[in-house]
Amino acid sequence: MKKTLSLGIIFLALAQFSYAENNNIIKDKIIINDAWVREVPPGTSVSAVYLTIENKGDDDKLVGMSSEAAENAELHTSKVDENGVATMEMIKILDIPSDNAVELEPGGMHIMLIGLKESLVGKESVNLKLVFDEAGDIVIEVPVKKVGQGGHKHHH
Amino acid sequence: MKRRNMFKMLIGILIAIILLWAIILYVYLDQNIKSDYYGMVYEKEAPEFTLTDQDGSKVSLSDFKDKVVLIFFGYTHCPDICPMTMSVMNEVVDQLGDQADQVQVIFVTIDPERDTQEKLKSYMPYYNENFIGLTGSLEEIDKVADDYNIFYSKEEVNSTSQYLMGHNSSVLLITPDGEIFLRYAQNKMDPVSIAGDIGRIL
Repeated sequence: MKKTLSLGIIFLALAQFSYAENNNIIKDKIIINDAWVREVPPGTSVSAVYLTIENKGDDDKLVGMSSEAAENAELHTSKVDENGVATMEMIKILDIPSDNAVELEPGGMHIMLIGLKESLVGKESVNLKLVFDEAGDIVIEVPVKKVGQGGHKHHH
Repeated sequence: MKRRNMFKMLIGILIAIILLWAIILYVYLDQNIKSDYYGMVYEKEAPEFTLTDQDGSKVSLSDFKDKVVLIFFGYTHCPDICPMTMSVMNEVVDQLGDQADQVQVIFVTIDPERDTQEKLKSYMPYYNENFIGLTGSLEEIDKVADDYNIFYSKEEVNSTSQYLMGHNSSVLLITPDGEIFLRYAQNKMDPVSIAGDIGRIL
């Protein structure tokens, strides 16, 4: 009786272990590359995160996101029409097809950070949680990047 | 007598043909020269305006008569296109080196409700200390945007960001003699090429 009980416990533990492992493998099939967030002037309450989502597993969907650095995070896409008018559209669910890489880049899709809690100037990175339909939550640290920023004091 | 008239007529036809050729050649060369610019040739008189800069001073276009002006209409709650464009403008100025002081970059907000003078004061110097940010009343901004054919509108994006703006995101180049000469759409944002255009104009 004692033997069967302990065997049962071992079996249960093993089952748990393999479940956890399985879960990890799914996550490993989603790879986040080249993530960066745009450093914006002090006092600016919004910024954008750019990254590439690679899916080496089955079809998946990006269904949500959040960051500790901002009150809200939303997936948006910039569109510029033939008259040069730029608008933004919100994307609620982003398909990440199997064996594909989806790029979020300047002038296109980006994760808009809304209500930055503190200035990004001088900050090294922000935290970002991406929620996938299949892969679950993936939390990454996104480096803050300066792009073509000024401070060209030699001109003065 | 008849012969003389005929001769006169021939001369006349010859002159007409030469003139026609000259006109065709001129138009052809003119277009050729203009198509050499990276920006799209726009050629429209730049309307005068007076707005308030980040320091609270009144600024008019006519203050920059001897300079090339790069003017961009945007807003500071813009996460993608506007910061990108401001960075490009800074790189353009950087490319120009010694000629940089002959160029003035002007940012006009199309969201004056949120982009106050104080807001612009922290926004502009981040990109470049010499950039001018202009704001004004809703009516003032409306008039300038309209004069410059800049469409803008408040957009609800079903978002928590209060509101975003749809806006014409092109950069306009105004020559020292007050003509909107070139237009740079978002697919024409190469700083080296823009600086090249400016070098030719100066």
